[in-house]
Amino acid sequence: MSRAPSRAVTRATVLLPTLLALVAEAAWTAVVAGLLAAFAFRDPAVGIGATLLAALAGLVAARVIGPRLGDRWPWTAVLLALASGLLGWLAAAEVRSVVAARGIDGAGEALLANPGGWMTGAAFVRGIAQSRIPADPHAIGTALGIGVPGLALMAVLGGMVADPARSRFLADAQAGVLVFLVAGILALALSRQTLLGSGSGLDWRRNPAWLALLAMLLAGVAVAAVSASLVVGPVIVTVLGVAVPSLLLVGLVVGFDRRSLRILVASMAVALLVAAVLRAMGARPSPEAQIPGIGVTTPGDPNAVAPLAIGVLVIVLLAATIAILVLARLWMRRPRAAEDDLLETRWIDHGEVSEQPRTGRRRRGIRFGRPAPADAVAAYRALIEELASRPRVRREPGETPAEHAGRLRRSGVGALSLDLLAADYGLVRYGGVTLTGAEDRRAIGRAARLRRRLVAAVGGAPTPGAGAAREPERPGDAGTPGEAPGARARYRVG
Amino acid sequence: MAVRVIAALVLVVVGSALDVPIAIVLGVVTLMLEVVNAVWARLGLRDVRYTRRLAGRRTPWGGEIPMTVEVWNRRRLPIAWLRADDEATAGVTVRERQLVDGTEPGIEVLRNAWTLRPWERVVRRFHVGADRRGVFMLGPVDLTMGDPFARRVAFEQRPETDTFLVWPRTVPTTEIEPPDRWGDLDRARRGLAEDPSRFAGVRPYAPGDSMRRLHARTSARLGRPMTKRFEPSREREVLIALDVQTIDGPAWEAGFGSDEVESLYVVAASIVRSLEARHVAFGLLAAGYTGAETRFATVPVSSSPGQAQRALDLLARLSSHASAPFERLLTMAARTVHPGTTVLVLTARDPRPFAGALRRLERLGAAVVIVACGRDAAREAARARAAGFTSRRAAMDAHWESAERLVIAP
Repeated sequence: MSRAPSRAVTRATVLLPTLLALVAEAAWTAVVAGLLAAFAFRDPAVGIGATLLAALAGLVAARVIGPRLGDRWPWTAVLLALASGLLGWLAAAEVRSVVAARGIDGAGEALLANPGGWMTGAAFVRGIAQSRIPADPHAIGTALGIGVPGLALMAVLGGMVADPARSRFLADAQAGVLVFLVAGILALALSRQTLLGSGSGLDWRRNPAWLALLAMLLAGVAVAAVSASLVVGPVIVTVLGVAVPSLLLVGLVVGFDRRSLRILVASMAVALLVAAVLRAMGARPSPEAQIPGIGVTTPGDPNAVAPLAIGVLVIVLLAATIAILVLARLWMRRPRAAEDDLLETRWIDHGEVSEQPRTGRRRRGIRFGRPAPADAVAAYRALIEELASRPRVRREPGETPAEHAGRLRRSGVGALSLDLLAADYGLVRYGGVTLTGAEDRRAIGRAARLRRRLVAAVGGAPTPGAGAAREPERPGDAGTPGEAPGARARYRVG
Repeated sequence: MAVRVIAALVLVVVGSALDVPIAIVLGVVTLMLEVVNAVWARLGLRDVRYTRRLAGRRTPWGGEIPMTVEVWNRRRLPIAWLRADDEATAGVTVRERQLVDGTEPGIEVLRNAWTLRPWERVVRRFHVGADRRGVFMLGPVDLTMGDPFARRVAFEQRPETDTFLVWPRTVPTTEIEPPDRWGDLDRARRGLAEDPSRFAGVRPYAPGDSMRRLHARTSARLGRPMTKRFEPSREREVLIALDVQTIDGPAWEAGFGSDEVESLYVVAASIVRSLEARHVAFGLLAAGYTGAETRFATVPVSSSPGQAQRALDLLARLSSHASAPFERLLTMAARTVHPGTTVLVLTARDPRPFAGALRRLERLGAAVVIVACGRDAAREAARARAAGFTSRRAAMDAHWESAERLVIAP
């Protein structure tokens, strides 16, 4: 296989955190664009697709044009950002028609027609900020650290807008926020891994288990957050509604003096005043969006479609994470001639049996209980451990693996495959032979078949108290009726 | 972390109160990230095994010691990243890695990072050495682990350390004196202490032999004078006295030229190797610090196996500055030196200030040979000769790091 695809894949892996960071940046700028549109009571003309394009343009410009312009680059970046914002603003048909009809005189109206369009300029700038390859985890962490409270503030501000703009904004913004969180957290994790790996031998593509865990946790967090947003709100409001008046009442009775009461009354008056002012600043609610009762939505309420949209979004996110996992697996199959491959030996060690480096690939899947054996030695030891509680077929303390297999075969219980498995075990443990992956897999299969066969031959349930097969039998046990004497007992008896 | 948790709770409560689901989503996500972090922090590094193994404890300058670093994730969950920072003494080199600056100034660390699957065990192989002779240490190790979101979550310092010695460089050298040969016509240049109870045979008479040694019967039978020969009462012994100080003045005030001191150590190590090859019993004395409480470093005279290793170990440990005046070292040597021992004085200074101590050694029956080293070796050797001592001049054919041969000549 040529090495070129491998290098391309490696480059793509390095680019992945940057691309995810761009998606996160695009998501929050789209949310802000939606907020501005909601304030103007317009439909948002700029979505996450447009902001993502702008952010990508910013990245490409910073990497391609920036180094060539040198000191002139900052001013060029400002101009390009303005141009990007202008393009986003002109993306709305209404803006174009107003500008075409009234020219410069209609600037104010045109600005109000698509104020969110200018956020593509911000997305362009954020694309420049994320232009470092490999991605800078500090930049992504800063974006997340500022983005989370910032988006919460946006959402609170957007919540003050009158319906239906409020409902539309909240529905759009929730999807944008989820994309921002998932893409941002993923980008941060991968960029941290990439940064740590530079020069210290870490390659996250070698750890599909971690990727799977990360994907599961992210999906779980997203689902839990969305579910909580639907359920927790009313619960908390109810709890607060019950708890706060009760506590106030208790407080009034127990500890409030006249002065405290005056302060409380004044505070409540100020709060009511602020609420009235805020309400006056917002538009008058549309009659069709008025909610007749708590928890009941009208047919025309855009909130009714929000859970469905969120469900679709979660499914898309899950599909994306699965796609990333599949891609990671594909990347890992490709031969890589990294320097550290020459220095490093990796194997799975459960701390009980073989410490031989594993050469072949391993069947993956969800397993429960005892971990599956990885090689012939582990398979043989697991089988012997399984048979230890069954006196007829267990290996006696004085028996070699070959003697044990021969005894079972002669008694009609065993099979030739046990001899072969025992031979594999002897070759690896005592002969210093390394088995091939195919031989290991055959041995594991033999062990599985033998386990079924031998357990069925002597009855499924293990003999109580016979599990201590590893312990040498005491001389007194030699004469126990109905049991074959142990090897040591036989020696003692003579 | 507490700030984030409080902020997340505030977001959830505010979002609920204002009926803004986005704030709840943001709050819950932040909260759950903190929960995952806390769970991982609780698991910590207790199921992570870290082992560092050195294949040897000594290497000559320019050589390397194979080293393995092994980590083992002994849990059912993967580890996103695990970083191990092994502190390394200044001067340690690792062929496969560039050492990076540690958290403390002046300390470099060997940094390794892994991503580990459940139960995964990884062994990495390195080759460690040093850019100079000395005692070097690896460890303790700082282990840091990340949670599934790759955030730093646990830190632990494990105190295990590994020490190794880097011997001075050795180069092939000419012999200081031709070895004595028994039974030939050449007369020994200096008489050895002989044990008259152990008769070893006869040899032809040579001018200067004592008339008392003549074997009358054999001389009569052969018709020419023959002299009796006895076994030496002890084997030939060489004691190397190393003058660590390269600049004149009091030991506690004198500075040192690192390169000149290292050259001196290379000469000493090369002589040690040469004496070992000739099966000569030798010892080493130096007034330098070795990490022990005493100010004088000593390897007693011996020809047992491993003597060269002991001497080279001492040369590796010795400080580059003197711990006491060289005269005091020679005075101490006078208490232990046997008659017949050759005392090789390796110095890069004018030997006249300690001529008195050297003469005392000669009076005790030791043969003193001054080996002048350093830039002014010829001049110092001439001064030694003028003072009445046997002297040699030691010179390498290039800088000590690249020299191929050491010539010790009159």
